[in-house]
Amino acid sequence: MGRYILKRLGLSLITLVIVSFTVFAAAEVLPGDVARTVLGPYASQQQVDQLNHKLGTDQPLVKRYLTWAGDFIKGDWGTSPILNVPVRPLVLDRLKNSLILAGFALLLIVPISVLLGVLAALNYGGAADRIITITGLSFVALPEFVVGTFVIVIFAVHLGWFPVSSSVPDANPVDIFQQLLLPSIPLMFVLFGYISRMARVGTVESLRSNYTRTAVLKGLPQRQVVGRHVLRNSLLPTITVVSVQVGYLVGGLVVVETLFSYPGIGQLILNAAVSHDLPVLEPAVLMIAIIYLVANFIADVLVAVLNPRVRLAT
Amino acid sequence: MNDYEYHLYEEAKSGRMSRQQLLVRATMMGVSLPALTAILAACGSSSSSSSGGGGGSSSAGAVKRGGTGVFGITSPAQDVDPITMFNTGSIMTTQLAADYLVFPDANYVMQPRLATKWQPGAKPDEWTFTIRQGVLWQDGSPFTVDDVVASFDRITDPKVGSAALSAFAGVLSNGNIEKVDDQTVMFHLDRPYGDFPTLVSSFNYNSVILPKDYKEGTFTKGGIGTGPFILKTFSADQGASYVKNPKYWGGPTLPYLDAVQIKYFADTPPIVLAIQGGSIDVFPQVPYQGSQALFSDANIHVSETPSSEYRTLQMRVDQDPWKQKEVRQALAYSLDRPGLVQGLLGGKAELGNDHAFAPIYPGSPTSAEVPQRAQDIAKAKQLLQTAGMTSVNVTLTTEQFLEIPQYAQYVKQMAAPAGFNITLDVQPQTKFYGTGANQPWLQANFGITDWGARGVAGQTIDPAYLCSSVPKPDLSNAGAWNSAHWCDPQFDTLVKQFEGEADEQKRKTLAVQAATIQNEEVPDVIAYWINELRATRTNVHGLAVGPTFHLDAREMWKA
Repeated sequence: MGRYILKRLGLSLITLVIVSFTVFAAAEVLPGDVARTVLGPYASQQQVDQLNHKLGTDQPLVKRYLTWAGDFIKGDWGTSPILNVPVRPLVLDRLKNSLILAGFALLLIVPISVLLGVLAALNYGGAADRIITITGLSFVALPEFVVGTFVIVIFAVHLGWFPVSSSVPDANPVDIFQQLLLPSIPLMFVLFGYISRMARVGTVESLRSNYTRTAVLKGLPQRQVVGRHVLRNSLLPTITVVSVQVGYLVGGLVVVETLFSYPGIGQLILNAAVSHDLPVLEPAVLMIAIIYLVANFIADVLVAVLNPRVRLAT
Repeated sequence: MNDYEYHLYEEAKSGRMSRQQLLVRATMMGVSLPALTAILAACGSSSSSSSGGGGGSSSAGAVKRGGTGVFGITSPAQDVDPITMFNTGSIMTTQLAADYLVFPDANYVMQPRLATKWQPGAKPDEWTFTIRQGVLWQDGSPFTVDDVVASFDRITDPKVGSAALSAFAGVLSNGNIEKVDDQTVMFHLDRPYGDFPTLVSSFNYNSVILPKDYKEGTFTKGGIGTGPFILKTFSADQGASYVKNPKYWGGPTLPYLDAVQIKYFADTPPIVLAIQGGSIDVFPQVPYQGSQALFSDANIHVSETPSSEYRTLQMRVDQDPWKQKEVRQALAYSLDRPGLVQGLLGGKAELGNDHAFAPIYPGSPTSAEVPQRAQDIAKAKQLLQTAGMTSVNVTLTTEQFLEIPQYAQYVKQMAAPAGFNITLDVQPQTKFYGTGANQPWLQANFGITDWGARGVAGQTIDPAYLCSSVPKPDLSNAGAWNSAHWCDPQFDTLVKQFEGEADEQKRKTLAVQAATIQNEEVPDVIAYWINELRATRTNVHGLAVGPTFHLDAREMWKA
């Protein structure tokens, strides 16, 4: 198990280095330059060149990357030339906000999706199965901005139960629901389809397996068959799917964050990309990559714990 | 009464100018209040109702003090600095806390702010401004003439790179701002310019008055300005909060609100939802497209005011197929302008007539003076034949911005029967404006570009239609935005005479002559002048209805 974890950690680190360099290189091809964005369209080219020189954006790519990576590790993330604020507190604050929203959405949706997915599998081919499957597929097909606008118009504009724009909630549970429930709904629509489907497929497969048949034939009650034999095996792919979705939930919420004006990291990354704010863009994207890697790492370990064949195979 | 005041009085008496036009011109030229009263009496009204009008619902009632006003605007997406700012988010953020020498109302009438009065010299190449006394900066230190001189020295300094440089080009040069005494500042202009107060108003939005020792990049730390509200917190993508300035020179009456807040949004739909849901009180600059839901909402009042905001449909006169003016005229005749106004803006626009004198400016040519161009496909075909063509293949390059992509579609459809085969190239706005030597909006053979509202015709014409504004091949002449690359020396002469002329009848004649040339030459089609929209919740009162990229909340209150 220890060797397995070490190997996973090593791979994660290599991925991180590759991602960080890719982000750095990709930012090069973004249109426009930092100094032009800061100084505006009326500044002369000479002023723009001077500022680019001062900011170091005219240095060779590899040299800049090495300096930046060193500073990043030391915790010196610099100052945003566009926003004129220190980058580290800004990125970490937005990351925290996104984690709060993602955590809330996951806490609500994972148990519901798994439960309904398993329920569908247990009623395989029946009415409940069809309803859950079709609902899941329909939800996935609805774009986030459609669902988001829909819930805002109904629950915030017409009924006035929730605020139109969501802010970061304080620790009060009522406030958490008030601020986060509406922006979570479009996310739940997207995730419900994926997660419930994986849970359903996994459960159907487990139900058809020899070990389940044996468990049933030896006379175990259904609750024990499902709880001890079916779920333990059927949830492995679901865990992997959830872990991949964590990355999406933290960094990919641009549409929902924009619609609800929620100060998350997705919106920060989009703005940084548009305004060529590399000192913000690079660490922010890297933080998303780290979240992805950590979520995947945890999923790998969980799967290994649940299924010894995985850790023995390595 | 001085000569100019008497001249205006004559114009009023003869009925040649409307009351509105008289007000705009009189305030521009610094006419004194007694003279203004006499002039307005001559045209049958009093000066007491001269303001630009409050917004919100009409039955205002007694003013209610206190409370917080919340505005929803497009994010500046960067730190805000008054010297270099150029987008609406930054401009509005600044204007709540800072002042200008003069400020326009919704009808473009110039109102005194940090200047109490102004007047041109014998020729309008010298302008004297009297500075308001007893004003304090938000940190308590006294505001002086030195601050005014320093503010204009700063933004006219080419090294600073302020956006104001393009507005001042050829009009005011660095070092020509003189402190006459402790109450007076004099601007020595490069040439006579009768509309100069516009350039020290918020129409030239960087001409904000800042302390003489102001350091660039410190504005959003807060507490800088003489305005009605003190900036307290700022986050470039979230918003800004302000509290009432207890030392405001308009106090103790103004401002009415205890605090104001700006919420930044990335796009229009969330702002529309926010005002419908009541989480903001005001959506100051409403684009028609995407905001239709507001027009039928009983809780929201949308004001509509004419403006000088427009779109150019520019044709490179130095490139085929546009070199012959008949081809350009053919395109102009192929468009159904009332159809465009209805289809793109729900009728909320005035018809354009291919010249840059917007109907809102006093003395602009009417359709009786320069006949309104209307759709005439037969004439368009005939003009193409005259140019030796039966069909024209062109690419229309433009930007993804408000109604413009739909406008491009309409142009493609409307011009097809005349023989124009148009391919569309709609680019993201940042790509279309580009940087350095790559700025498609100045280089495309055929394009559509958005132009914001300006205070006077010269503010648009000088950078966009003069020979000196034709971009160089490498685009190194910053602020030269003549995207059609059109140069007509006779037009240039007329415009410069117009800008330096005080006599209203001569101005009118010069404007008609210049407009006739532009209409005939058609460097670009000007199909419509957009009416500006501002949305307020119905409990909001006292907020000026425009110009909509300016924000003046000192008289705003909430019922």
